[in-house]
Amino acid sequence: MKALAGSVVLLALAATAGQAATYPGKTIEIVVPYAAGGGTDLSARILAESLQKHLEGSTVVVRNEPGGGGSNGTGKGLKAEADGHTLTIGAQGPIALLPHYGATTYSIADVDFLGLMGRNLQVVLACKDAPFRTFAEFMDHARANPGATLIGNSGAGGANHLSFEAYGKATDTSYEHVPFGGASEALTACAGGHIDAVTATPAEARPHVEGGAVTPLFVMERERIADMPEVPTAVENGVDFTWSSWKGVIAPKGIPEDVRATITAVLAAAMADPGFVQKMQEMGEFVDFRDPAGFETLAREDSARAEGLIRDLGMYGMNK
Amino acid sequence: MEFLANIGLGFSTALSVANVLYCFLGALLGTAIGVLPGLGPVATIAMLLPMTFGLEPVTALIMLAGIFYGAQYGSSTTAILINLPGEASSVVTALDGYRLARQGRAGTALAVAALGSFFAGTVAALIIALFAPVLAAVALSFGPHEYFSLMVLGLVASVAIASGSVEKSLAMILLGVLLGLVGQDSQTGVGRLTFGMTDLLDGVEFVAIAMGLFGLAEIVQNLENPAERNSSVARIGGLRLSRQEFRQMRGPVLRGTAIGSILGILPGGGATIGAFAAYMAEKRLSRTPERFGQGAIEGVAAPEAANNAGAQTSFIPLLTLGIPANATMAMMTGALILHGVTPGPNIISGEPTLFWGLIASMWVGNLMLLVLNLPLIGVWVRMLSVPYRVLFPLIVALSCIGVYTVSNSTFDVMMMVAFGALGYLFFKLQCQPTPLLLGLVLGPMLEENLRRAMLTGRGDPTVFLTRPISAGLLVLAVICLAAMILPAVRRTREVAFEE
Amino acid sequence: MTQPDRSDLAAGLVFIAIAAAFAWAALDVRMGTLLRMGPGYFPLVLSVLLAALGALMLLRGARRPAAPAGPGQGQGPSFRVAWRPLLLVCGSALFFALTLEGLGLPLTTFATLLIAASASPQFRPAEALLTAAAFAAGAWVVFAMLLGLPFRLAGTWIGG
Repeated sequence: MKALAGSVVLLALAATAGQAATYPGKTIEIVVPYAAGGGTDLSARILAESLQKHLEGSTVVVRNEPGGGGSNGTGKGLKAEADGHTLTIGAQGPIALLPHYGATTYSIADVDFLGLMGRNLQVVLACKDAPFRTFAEFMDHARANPGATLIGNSGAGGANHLSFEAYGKATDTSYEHVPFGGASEALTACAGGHIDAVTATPAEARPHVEGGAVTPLFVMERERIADMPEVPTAVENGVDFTWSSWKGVIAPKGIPEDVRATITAVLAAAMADPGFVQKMQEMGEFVDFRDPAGFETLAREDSARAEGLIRDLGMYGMNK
Repeated sequence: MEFLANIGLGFSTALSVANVLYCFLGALLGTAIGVLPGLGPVATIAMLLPMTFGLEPVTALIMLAGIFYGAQYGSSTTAILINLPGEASSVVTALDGYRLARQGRAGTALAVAALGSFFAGTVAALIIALFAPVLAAVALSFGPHEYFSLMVLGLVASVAIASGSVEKSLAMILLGVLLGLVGQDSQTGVGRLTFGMTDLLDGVEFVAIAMGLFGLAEIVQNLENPAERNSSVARIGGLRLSRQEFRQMRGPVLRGTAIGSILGILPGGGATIGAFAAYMAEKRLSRTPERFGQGAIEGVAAPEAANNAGAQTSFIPLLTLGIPANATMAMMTGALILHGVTPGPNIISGEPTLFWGLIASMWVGNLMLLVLNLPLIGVWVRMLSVPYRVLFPLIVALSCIGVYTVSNSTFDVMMMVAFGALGYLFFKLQCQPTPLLLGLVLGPMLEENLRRAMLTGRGDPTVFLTRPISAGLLVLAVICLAAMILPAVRRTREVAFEE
Repeated sequence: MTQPDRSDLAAGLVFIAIAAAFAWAALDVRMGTLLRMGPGYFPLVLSVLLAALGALMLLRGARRPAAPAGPGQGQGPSFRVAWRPLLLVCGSALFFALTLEGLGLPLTTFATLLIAASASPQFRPAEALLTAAAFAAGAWVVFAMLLGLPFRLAGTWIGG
C-alpha cells in the first residue's frame, strides 16, 4: 500500500516536471475554519504530518481561522492566492449549507475540490428515560405526539439540525428541535434524560451506548455500519433516507494545472498512507477518500438538498 | 485496599524517569508560553500537541497535563504581575494579586498562588481517585433549568466581589451579558446586536475585552496618577511567606479547594464560577471585607485554589462520561482521542494504567509547578523593578500581540482599544469591570439554557421552582442578593436621617 | 454635603444610553414567544432591566449626597480626563491594529512601543528607542520563530 502510494507520487512528480518542480516554493498553509482541538482541526493536523512526509522538502502548517460556523476561514482560504500554497479544509457546513443562509462571501461555485478526506456518519440515539427503545417504537411515538418529541441538535441550522428536519419531511412527522452548543453538550443532556433523542457520530455515541445511558435507534446510512453492525438503517425499515457530513481539501479556483496535478496526487497518497488512516480511525473518523470529481459531486448534491430544506424552513438568505 | 493498589499503580506509572521528565518539560513549556498574554491553556496545548505525537499514550497525557497546569499557572502569573488576565478564572486573581504586586508584594502573591494551587491540586486529585464515578452522576442531573439557576447564582455572586454600589454592579453584569449575546444567535444563526459590524457576527472576544478593561485602562489610570508614576512597585518585599501570611491563607485555600472541586464537576462554566464563588465566600466571611480589592492575601489564595481544584475535577466528567467540561477539556479530549484513547465510562476498567497514571501525574504535575515556579518568582519580581515608563509600553505591545494571536484578527485589537477607553470611563464612574467580565462569559450560557429550559419545560416557567436543585440554587441567589441590598438600604436610610 | 453624586448621575445616563442602543438593536430581530424565544427576546428584556437600573442611579444620584465609593478610595476619582495618556496609549494599540498586516510584526511593534512610551511624562527618547528595537526583535523571535504563529516579517505594504 505504502509502496503504491509512493509510486503514485513519483509518477505524479515525473509527469509534472515543469513549473511544478519548484512547488512547493514556500511553506504550505492549511486553513482550518474552526478552532484548534476539534475533530476537523485534529484531522487537518494529521493530514499536515502525512503531507509533509509525501511531498519531499515541504513544510505544512495548520492555520486556524475560526468563526461564523466555519464561513470566516473558508472565505479567507478561498480568497487566497491560487498558487497551491494555501489549502483549506472544506466541510459540509461552510460549503453546502451556510451560503444558503446568505452569510458567506463565497458560494460553492468558487470552490476547487481537491480531495475528500472523510465522512461523519450519523446515528440517532434514544435518550435515558425516553419512551422508546427501537426504531418502530420511536416512529409510533413520533406519530402519536406530533411536534412534541424533543430532539437535541448541535446547533440550529447546522447539519445536525437540518438532517433531522429532512428526516421529519421524509417520514411526514414533526418534532421539537432543541439546539445545543455542540454535539457533546447535546449528548450530555441526552445521557441525563433531559431530552428524548439526539443525533451523533458513532465515535461520539459509543461511550454513552456502552455505559448504557442511551440506545441507538438507527443510522442514517444506506448500509449498516461496521462500527455498530447491530443497529438498523432507516432504509431497511422502509424509509429512504440517508445523511452524513464530510470534510475534504479545497482551494480557490485557478491553480496552475501542473501544480494542481501535484497536489491532488500528493493528497491521494497522503490520505492512503496507512499511518494517516490508522490515526484517523483511532480518532473515530470515517476515512472515505474521493477524488476531485467524486468530492465535487457529493458537495453539489448536498448543497442542492440543503437549499430546498432551508427554503422550506424559511431561513433562506436570512443573514444577507 | 483496592484504592491503595490503584494509587500504587498510578504512581509507579507516573514516577518512571521518562514520565517525570516529560511532565517537567510540559510544565516548563506550558509556563513559558502561558505567561505570554493571550495564550491561555487551550492555545498552548494546541500549539504543543504535535510534540506528543511520538510518545506513548500515557507519557503523552502526562506531558499534556503538565502543559495544562503550566499554562494555567502562567496565566495567573501575568494576571498578578501586570493585570492582564488571559482567561476568565484568572480575572479574580488579578483583583487582589495585582494590588499586592503594586504594593511590592508580588512575591507573596505568586507564592500564595503557587502553594494554594498545589494544595488544591493534591486534594482534587484525591477526590477524583476516590469519588469520580459517583460525582459523574451529579453532572448528569444538571439539565437546562439547573444550569440557568446556577448561572444566576454565579452572576449574583459577582456583585459581592465588586466594591461599590449594588446597582452599578448589577448594571455591569447586565451589560456583560448583553455583550455576550452579540453575534450570531446560537439557536437560530441570526446575526444580532452587531450594530452593522460583520466582524461582530462571531461575538466579542473575551481576551480583547478583558485586556482592554483591565490592562489598557489600568495603564491610563496609572499614568494619570502622579504618585504611582515613578516605578512599577513601591518596594520589593521578601520572597518567603511569613508565618502570619501562612495563617492568613490556610482557611481560604481550604474553602477555595472545596468550592472549586464541587463546581468543577459541572460542565460549562463550573470551573469559572468556582473562582468567583470562592472569592465571594471569603469576602463574606472576612471580618475585614474592605481589604478585598486592595491587596488581600485571601483574595488570591481562595480563587487560585478554587481555580486549580476546578481545573482538575473538570477531568471527572471527561474521564467518566466522555464529556469535555470546557474548551480546555475539549482540547484534552482531542489529544486523548489522537492517542487512541476514547474517554468514556469504560476508561477506568479498560485502561487502568492510563487512568490511575493520569491521576498520579496530576499530583506530580502540580509538584513540578511548585518546584519550577517558586524559584522563578524571584525572576518575575525582578522584572517588576523595571521603571514603569519602560514597562508599560511593553505591556501595551504584549497585549496587542496577545489579543491578535487569539484568532489572528486586527479587529479584536481594535475592540481592545475601545474597551480600554470604556474601562477608563467606568473607572471615572466608579463602576468595577469584574461583574461585566463574568456576565460576558456566562451570558450566552444563561440565555441558551433559559431558551432550552422553556422548550423542554413546554413553556412553563414554574419548572424552575419545582425542580429541587434549580429551586435551591435560585433561593441561594435571592438570599445573596438580599444580604447585599439590605445593608445598602439601611445605609441610605441612616444618611437620610443625618440630613 | 447636599451636592448630588455626579458619578451616580453620569453612570445612570451612560447605562440608559447603552440600554437604549441595545434595545434598538434587539428590535431588529425576531422576538418570538416565551415558549420559543426568538433572538431578540432576551436582549430586549435585559435592556429594559438595564435602563431601569440606570434610572435608579439617576434617582439616587439626585437625592443622595456624594458618598465615598468604597473603603480606601476616598472621594473617588476626579472627573478630569487625562487626555494625553488616554489618547496615546489607546492610539498606539490602534496603530498596531491598523498597520500589523501592512508593515509586519517587527516594524509595527517598534512604532507601537514608541507611541505608547511617549504617553509617559517621563518619556526618554533614547531609552524608548533602544527598548522598542530590542522588544520588536525579541517579539519576532518568540512569536514567529519559536512559536510558529503566522506573523509577517515585512508586511504587504513593503513587499512582504
